Amino acid sequence: MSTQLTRRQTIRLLSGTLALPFLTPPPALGNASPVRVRPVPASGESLPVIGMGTWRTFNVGSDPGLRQARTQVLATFFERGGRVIDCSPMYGSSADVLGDALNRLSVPSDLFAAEKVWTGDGSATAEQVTEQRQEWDIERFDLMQIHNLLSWREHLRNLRDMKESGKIRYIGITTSHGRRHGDLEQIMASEPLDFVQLTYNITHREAEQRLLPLAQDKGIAVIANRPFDGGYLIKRLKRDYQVPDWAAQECDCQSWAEFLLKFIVSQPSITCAIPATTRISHMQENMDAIRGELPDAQLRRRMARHIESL
Amino acid sequence: MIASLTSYSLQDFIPFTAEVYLRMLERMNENDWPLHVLMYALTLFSVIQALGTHRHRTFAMLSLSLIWLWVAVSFLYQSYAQINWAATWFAAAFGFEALLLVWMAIRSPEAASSPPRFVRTIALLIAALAMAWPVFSPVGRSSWAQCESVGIHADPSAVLTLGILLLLFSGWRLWLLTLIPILWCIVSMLTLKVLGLDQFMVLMGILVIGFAAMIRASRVSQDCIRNTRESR
Repeated sequence: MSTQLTRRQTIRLLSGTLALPFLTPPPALGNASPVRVRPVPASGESLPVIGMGTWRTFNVGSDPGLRQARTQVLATFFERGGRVIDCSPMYGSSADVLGDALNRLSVPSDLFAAEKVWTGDGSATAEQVTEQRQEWDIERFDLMQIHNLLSWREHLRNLRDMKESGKIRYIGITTSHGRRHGDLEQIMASEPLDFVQLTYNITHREAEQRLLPLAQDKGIAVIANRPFDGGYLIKRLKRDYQVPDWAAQECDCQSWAEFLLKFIVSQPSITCAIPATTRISHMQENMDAIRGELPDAQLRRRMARHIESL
Repeated sequence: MIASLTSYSLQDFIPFTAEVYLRMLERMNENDWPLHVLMYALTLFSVIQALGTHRHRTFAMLSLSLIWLWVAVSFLYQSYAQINWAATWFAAAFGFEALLLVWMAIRSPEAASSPPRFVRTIALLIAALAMAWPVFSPVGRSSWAQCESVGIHADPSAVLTLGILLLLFSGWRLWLLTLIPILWCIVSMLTLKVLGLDQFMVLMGILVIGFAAMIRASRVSQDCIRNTRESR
C-alpha cells in the first residue's frame, strides 16, 4: 500500500491548483463546514468525531521512506481537522514513528494523544507511560487506556494516581473484536472511567445492546475502533459495490469510508471513531466524515439493511 | 477465557503490513550486500561437506551455525524486531539453534549411514530450493530487490538447514536439530499467509515433503537399530 501520489492524483492536484483562483475553496481547505465534535462527558471538552488509529499502519520501523510517507498521512489528518490519535505499545514501532512525524510537523497545540498500557506487570504502569511518552516526544498524554483489560485492576489504581497528580488527563479501558464485553460492562458499572474503547461498526453493533447505553448513563466517552472491520469490510465494498445514491443525497456520503464512518459517529453515544490508514487518499476520505450531514435513526437503519443485503 | 482466546485471529498477531515486511527484506539486501556472496560460498561449502565423510559433515554443521547466528543477530534482532515484538524471541531461538549445531558438531556424531535414496532426494531438493530462493521469492512482489537469500534472511536459511540435516542425521538427533527450523517455517508460513503473500505455499510444500522425508528417515533408523539388536 503506497502513500506516493499516483500520476492521476498529481495531475488532479496541479489542475486544482491552477484553477484555484476561479473556484471557491473546497470545504476541507476553506473550512466552509465546521468540524463535527462531541463532548467528553467528564469535562465537556469537545473532540472531533474522526480520529486516527495506528494499529499496523504506523509500525514501519526505521525505514526513512516509509516514515516520511506516514508523516504526510499525519499532516493530511491535521489539515483536515483531526486531533485524536490512538496508539499502543503493542503496535511495535508505531509510537516512535508517530513521535518522529510529530517532530517533523511540530506538535499541534490541540493534539489529543491517546495511548495505552499493555503489560501484565501491574507495577509497571508509570514506567510504560514514561516509555511511550518518550517515544511520542510529548509532555503529557491526554488519555491513558488499559489495553484489552490486561491487569486492569492494578493499572487502573496507578492511572488514577497519575491523573490526580496531573500526569494524565483521562483514563480509560479498551477491548476489540467484541471480546470481553461482559467484563467491560462490569468495570464500566463499578469503576469511575472517562473513556472506553471498543469495536463498533456497521457489521458489529453488539455494543448497542448494553455497553453504549451504559456509557451514556455513566457519562463515559466512547471511542470506536475497527470502524472498517480491520479493512476487510471497506476493501470488499470498494471492490464490488458503489455507494448508493441515496446515501450521497441524504447525508453527503461520497465514499464508502464516509458511509461507514458516518454510520458509526451518528450513534449518539459514540464520541470518536479511529480509522487507520497508510494512504493520503484514504485519509482524505476518512476525514470527509468529520463534516456535513449525519444520518438520522431512520437512515441509519436503512444503511445497516443495505450493508446486510450485500 | 477460552472463548476470549478463540476470538483472536492470526492477523491480530501480525502488527505490520505486507508493504513494511517487504521493505524490510529489501533493506536487508541493501545493508548486507555483498555479504550474500560469502553466504552463498558458505552454503555451497555446507552442501558439499554434507555429502562427504563424517569429518566433513562436522564442517557443514559449523558452517550452518554461522549462518544461524548471523541471521539471529542481523535479520531477527536488528531488523525484524523493529516491527515485530516477537522477533526478539525468534532471535533467541535462532541463537539456540546455532549453539545446538555447534554442540552436535563437536560431539562428532557416530558415523551414520547414508540416508535412503528417497530421503537423500528430498534433502537435495530442499537444499536446492533454498539456494534458488532469490530467483523465485520476488515473483509477485514489486521489486527484485525484495528477494530473499540464505544467510541474509530467515526463510531460506531455515529451509537450507532442513535439507542439510536430512542428509546428515536420522532418529532423535534429526528431530531435535530440525525442531526450530520447522517451527520457524510454520511461523513464517502463517505470517506470509496473513500478509497475503503467496510464498507461504512454498513453505507449506517444503514442510510437507520435509516431514515425509523425516518420517522415512526415522523408520530406516528404527529398522537399523532393530537389525543391530537382532544380530547380537
